[in-house]
Amino acid sequence: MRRHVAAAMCLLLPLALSRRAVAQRTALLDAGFGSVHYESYLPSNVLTLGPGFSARAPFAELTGSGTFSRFETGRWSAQSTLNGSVYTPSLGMLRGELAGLADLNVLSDIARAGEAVAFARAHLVDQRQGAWAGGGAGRVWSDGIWQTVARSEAGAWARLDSLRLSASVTRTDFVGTISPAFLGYPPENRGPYTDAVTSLHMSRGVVELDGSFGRRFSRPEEEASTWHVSGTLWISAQLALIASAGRYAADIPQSIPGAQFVTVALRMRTRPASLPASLAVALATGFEVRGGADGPRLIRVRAHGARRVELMGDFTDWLPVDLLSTVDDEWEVLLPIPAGAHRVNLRIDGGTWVVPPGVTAITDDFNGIVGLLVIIG
Amino acid sequence: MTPPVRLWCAALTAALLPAAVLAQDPRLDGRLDPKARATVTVLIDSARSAGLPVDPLIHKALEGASKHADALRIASAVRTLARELATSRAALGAQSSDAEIEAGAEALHAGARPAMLTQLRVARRHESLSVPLAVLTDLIARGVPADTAAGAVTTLARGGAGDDDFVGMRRNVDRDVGAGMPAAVAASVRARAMPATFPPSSVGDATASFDNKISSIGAPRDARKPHRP
Repeated sequence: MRRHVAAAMCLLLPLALSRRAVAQRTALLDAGFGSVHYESYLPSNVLTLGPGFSARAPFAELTGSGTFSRFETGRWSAQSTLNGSVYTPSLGMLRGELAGLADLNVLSDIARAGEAVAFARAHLVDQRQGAWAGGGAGRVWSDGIWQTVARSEAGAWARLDSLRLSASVTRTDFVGTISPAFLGYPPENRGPYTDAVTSLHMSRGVVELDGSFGRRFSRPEEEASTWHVSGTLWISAQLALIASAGRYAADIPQSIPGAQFVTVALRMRTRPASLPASLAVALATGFEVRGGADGPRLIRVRAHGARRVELMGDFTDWLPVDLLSTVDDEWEVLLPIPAGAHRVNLRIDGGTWVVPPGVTAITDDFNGIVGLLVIIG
Repeated sequence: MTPPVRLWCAALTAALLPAAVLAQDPRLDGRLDPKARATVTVLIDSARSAGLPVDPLIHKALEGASKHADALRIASAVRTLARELATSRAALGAQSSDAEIEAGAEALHAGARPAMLTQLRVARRHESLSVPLAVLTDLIARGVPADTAAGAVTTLARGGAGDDDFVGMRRNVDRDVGAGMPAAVAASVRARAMPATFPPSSVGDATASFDNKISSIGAPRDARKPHRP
């Protein structure tokens, strides 16, 4: 009974936290079925239920997900993961991040494991590409025994229209005593290992495609390739069909074996997830233009924590104009802007020129993007 | 002809043309390097001779300068825009205003075809097309296929929609897309949802408000890990 309560907690924790979050939120629930083949075990059909949520604010982000799986043998597993990040204000293209990761895994009455790891990362971010590097350390709990792990990582990403590519390398080292084995992962196999993963995400209309390919570099007998492909077809704004297949590597610190899987699921969500954006854009959260045809128009920008906000567009002859700080992170300027379509860019704290939030982004002929602002009256 | 040779030819042409012919816009002073300035000046002068609006060309050059683009790229962008302005005027008609021609060029640049501009002109003969064309550009930039976007905007124009109706449709599409609806579907639905004919337009205060668009931060990460039973 207690185990079922624990499993229920794994599922409900992310949703409960989502209600407490104060930023932009997305909650979803996946229900599906499929087949899974754990390493060294027989394949099994499985029913899955997976809640998830994300909450985002300009300086923080919290995401969580859980998966409850019921195998045809009658056994079940529950996984829950929580990721949180806090970002520093940008210094040009540079921005810092402090992050935490916690997860909990329960496999029927056989095994329980979890981990809590803290990270620090430095991001170098532009509108369409970025890179990061960092490291962290934490504690891993496997069937009642704790041990320490250290992770270091580096990666890069790029966006090209609806295509997003990323690549990362993560090295995991074990510190101190190594816990006993379960599920076929004896301590002697737990040496340091490095995971290299490249992934892509493409979104076009109602279809989203995801794919990844990775390679684990470790002791020769532990080296493995991982891959994953999934397709999402949005039937409506809140409902989608998802088909996934792949192979994931063993979670060696938690002694969870790798597996191959094929699943089909129905996804329900409360609202769509935000599109990924650059760190530079994140500082500006509101943009509006007010005023009639006969006088200057008031441009107002909300930029949390900004020290300087500048605007330039065809109506300023493409010369940067400083906005004046008013109250509550709002910045304003009065400018004569005739009716019609205008091109505009925004800059926060001397960073990269970006498109004001909510304004349509178009390519600018100079390897960048620019906002298309339509003014009437 | 290689790009440097082409640039030198343009510069030479500019140097040989009588000063009175050259359009020396003071806004370009000190903003472009001599190479870019020479080429852009010739292009602007040609456009003016052809009766095309030159402000968009000047703005394009200034934008390139502010974004530290090199001379060749600035010249190329201005040249492309000059071509699009000419195509836009041909599609919209010689009597079109500068603002309409400029908006048409933007739409062409975004992916609209000249025939779409002509169709829109036919649907809205007696009112400015600046805002409908800007909304057309906006919809295409948001991912609505050009045919769908042009169809939606032309449908509104045929119904006698006012400028604020076009902006209203764009805002509604934006809202629908924000709620997860594909852009193409949103544009079609919103165009169909508009009344067949509109009352006389009452254009109020121009307000382009895009509040509370909180963007996600950090390196892109999958919002959701794959199903891992």
